[in-house]
Amino acid sequence: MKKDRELQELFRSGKVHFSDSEEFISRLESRMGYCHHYDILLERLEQERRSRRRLAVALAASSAALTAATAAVIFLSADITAGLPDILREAAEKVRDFTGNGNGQRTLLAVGAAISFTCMVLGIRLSSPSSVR
Amino acid sequence: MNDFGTFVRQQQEPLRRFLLSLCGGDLQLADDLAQESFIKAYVSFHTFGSRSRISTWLFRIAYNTFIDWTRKRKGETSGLEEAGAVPSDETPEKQFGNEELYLAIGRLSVHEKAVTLLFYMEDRPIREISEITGMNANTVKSHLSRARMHLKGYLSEKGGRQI
Repeated sequence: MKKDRELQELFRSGKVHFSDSEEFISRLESRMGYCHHYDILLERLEQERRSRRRLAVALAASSAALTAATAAVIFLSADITAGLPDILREAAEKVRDFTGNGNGQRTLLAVGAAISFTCMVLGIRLSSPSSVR
Repeated sequence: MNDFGTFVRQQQEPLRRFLLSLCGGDLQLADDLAQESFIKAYVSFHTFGSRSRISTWLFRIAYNTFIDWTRKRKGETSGLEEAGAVPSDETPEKQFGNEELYLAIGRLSVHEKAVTLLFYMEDRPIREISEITGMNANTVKSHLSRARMHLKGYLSEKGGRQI
C-alpha cells in the first residue's frame, strides 16, 4: 500500500523520544527480578510435588509387595491347593515343605523385610528434593 | 536475561511511543502497559517461535495488553473508544512534536489509530501490522484508508495544515 508522503512526514516529525529510558529499564529489571524469584519458587513447589508423588508411589509399591508376600506365604503354607493343576500343587508342596520348618519361615520373613526396607529407602531417597535437582 | 536485556533496550522506545499514542498521551498508563508487555514477553520468551520478527511478537503482546486493558475499563467507563479520546490538559500531549496531529489521531477509533501508528510512525509493512493486530491485510488497508480520510478531514477543518 502506497504511503501518503506528507502524512508520513508529519508522523515522523511528531515522534516522541524518551529521556527516561534508563529509569524505565531499571524499573522493569526490578519487576523482572521479582518475576524470576517467583519462577524459582514455583519450580521448587513443583519439585516438592513431584517428590511427594514419588514417595507415595514408593510406599504404595512397598506396601503392595509386602501384602503380596504375606498372601503368598499364607496361601502356600495352608493346605488349600486342592483343585490346582498338578504342577502348581507340586510347587506349593515344595514351598510348604520349605516354610514348614523354622529356618525357611525366618528366611522368607527376612527376604520380605529386606524388600520392604529397600522400597522404603528408595522412596525416601527419591522424595528428597536434592535428588531431583 | 542478558539477551532479554538487550532486547528491552532496543525495543523500549518504539514500544512506549506506540502505547503512548494509543493511550492518548497518558504516559503513566502507557509505561505501565509497556512494562506489563515486557514482563509477559519475558515470561513466555522461551515460547517465541521464529516465524515472525521478535519485535512484531512484542508489539502483538503490547497491542493485546492494551486491548485487554480497554475491555477491563469498559465496565468502568464508556469502553474501547474511550481509550481513543482526546487527552485532557493534564496529559503530556504537549510534549509531542506535533500536537495538532496527535489531537487528530486521538479522534480515530482504536483500530484505526493502531494501524496508522504502526504504518506511518513505526514504518511497519501491512503484513506485520496484520500479525500485530490479528486483522487480515484487507481490513488493515481499509482501516488505514479510513484513518487517512479522517486525518485529512480533521486537519483541513482546523485549517492549519494542508496534507
